[in-house]
Amino acid sequence: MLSIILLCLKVIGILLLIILGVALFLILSVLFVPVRYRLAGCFEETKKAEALVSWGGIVFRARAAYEYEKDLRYTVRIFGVTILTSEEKITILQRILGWKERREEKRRRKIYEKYQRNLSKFSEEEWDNDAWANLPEGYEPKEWSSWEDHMDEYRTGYPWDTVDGESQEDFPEEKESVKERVQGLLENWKEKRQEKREQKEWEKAIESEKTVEEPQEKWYNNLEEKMEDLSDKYERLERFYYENQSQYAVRKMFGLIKKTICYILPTSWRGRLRYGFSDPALTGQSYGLLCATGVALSPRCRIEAEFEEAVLEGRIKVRGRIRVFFFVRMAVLIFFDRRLKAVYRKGKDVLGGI
Amino acid sequence: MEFAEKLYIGLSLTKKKERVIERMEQGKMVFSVYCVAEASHPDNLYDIYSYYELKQPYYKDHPVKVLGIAGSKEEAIGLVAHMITDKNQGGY
Repeated sequence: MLSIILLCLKVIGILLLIILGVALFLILSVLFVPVRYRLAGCFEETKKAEALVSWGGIVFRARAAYEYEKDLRYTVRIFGVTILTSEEKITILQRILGWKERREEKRRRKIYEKYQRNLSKFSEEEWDNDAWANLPEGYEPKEWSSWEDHMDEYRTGYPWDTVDGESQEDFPEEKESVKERVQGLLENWKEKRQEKREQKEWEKAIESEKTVEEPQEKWYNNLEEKMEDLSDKYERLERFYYENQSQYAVRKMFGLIKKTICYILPTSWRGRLRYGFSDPALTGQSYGLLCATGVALSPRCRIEAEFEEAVLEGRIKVRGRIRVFFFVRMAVLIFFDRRLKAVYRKGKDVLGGI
Repeated sequence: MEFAEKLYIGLSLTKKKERVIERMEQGKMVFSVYCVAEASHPDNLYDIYSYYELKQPYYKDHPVKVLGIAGSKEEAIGLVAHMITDKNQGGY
C-alpha cells in the first residue's frame, strides 16, 4: 500500500519536475535567446532593400524584401511552416481563419439551389411580379371612384364638416356664427402676436443700447483668468522639476534611455559608397572632409570617390541582436528604485492637480 | 509684499479686486497689474512698479509696501495723482 502511494508520489513528482523544467526552459529561452535582425540595402543598378528578423533560428523567421518598381514581398514562418505570405498560396493561418467564410458560402449555395428548385415550379411572369410576393394574404387594394370617397377617409373635425352623419346644409345659421367666432379668435391671436413682437423689439433696442465693450471685456477677462491658471500650472510643474529627487529621476532616466539606444543599435555594419559630383573639385573637397573625419578610413565602410562622372551608388548591410533580458533588467531596476517611485507618486499628484 | 490698510484700487480692477489681491498675496501670477508703492528714495513721492518686477526673487527678501494697484501704467499715474490730492486734503 505504502509502496503504491510512494510510486504515485514519485510519478507526480517527476511529472511536476518535467513541467517545471519545460516552463523554465521556455522562460529562459525567451529571456536569453536573442532576436536577431539583418537589414540590407542596395542603391545601384537595382534598388532594393531587405529585412530579416529571426528568433531561435528556425522557430520564428520573418523576411521582407522590396525592389524599386515592384511589389513588397514578405513571409512569416514558424518552425518552417508559412503563416503569412505575400505570394498567392493559401497559408495555414488563412485556412484556419477562413472557416467562417467557407461556412457562409456553403449556406448561400444551399439557399440558391432551393430557390432554383422552386423557380422551376412557377412561370417566370409570376415570379417577376415582386409586389405580389411581398403583400400579406387576403389583401385587396381599395378602388376610389371620386375624391369625395377619398375625403370621407380623412375627417378634419371642423364645425362645418359633417358630424355624426349630418350634412352642413342642414344648419346654415350655426355655420355662420361658428365662422364669426373663429374669425374673432384669429384676430385676437394676431393682435397678441403683434404685441409680443413689439415688446421683443423694444427689449432688443434696450439691450443694444448697452455698451458694445461689455462682451469684449468679458472675453478679455476670461482670457486673463485662463492665462493665470496656465501660469499657476506651469509654476507648479517648474517647482516639481527643480526638486532634488526629480533631478535624480531625470538623470537616471536619461542614462537608461542612452543605454537602451546603444543596445538596440546594430552590432556590426558594412557599407560601400561610390559617389561623384559633376564638379571634380567638389568631389575632392568632400572626399577630403570624409577622410579628415575618419569616415572614409573606417574598415567597415569603403568609400570610392569618382572624379570623372556624377554618380551615386552604394550598399549597406547591418546586423544586430536584442535580448529580452535587457529590458526585463531595466524594468526591474526602475521598479525597485525607491527614489524613482517617490518621484512618480509625487508627479502623479502634481499632474493630477493640473 | 505688504499691502497698506487703505489700499487704492484703480477703476479697471474694482470688479476683480478680491481675486487680484488674493493672488498677489499668494505670490501667483497676475497679468497687467501695476503697483504704487512707497518711495524707495526720500526725494521721491511714490514708486510705480509693474507686478512682474515685484515677482522677482530680489523682492522676496526686500518686500515693498503697496499703497495702490491699477490695471495699467496710465491708470497708476492717475492713481498717484488721486493719492496726492487725497493726502493734501488730509484723507491719507
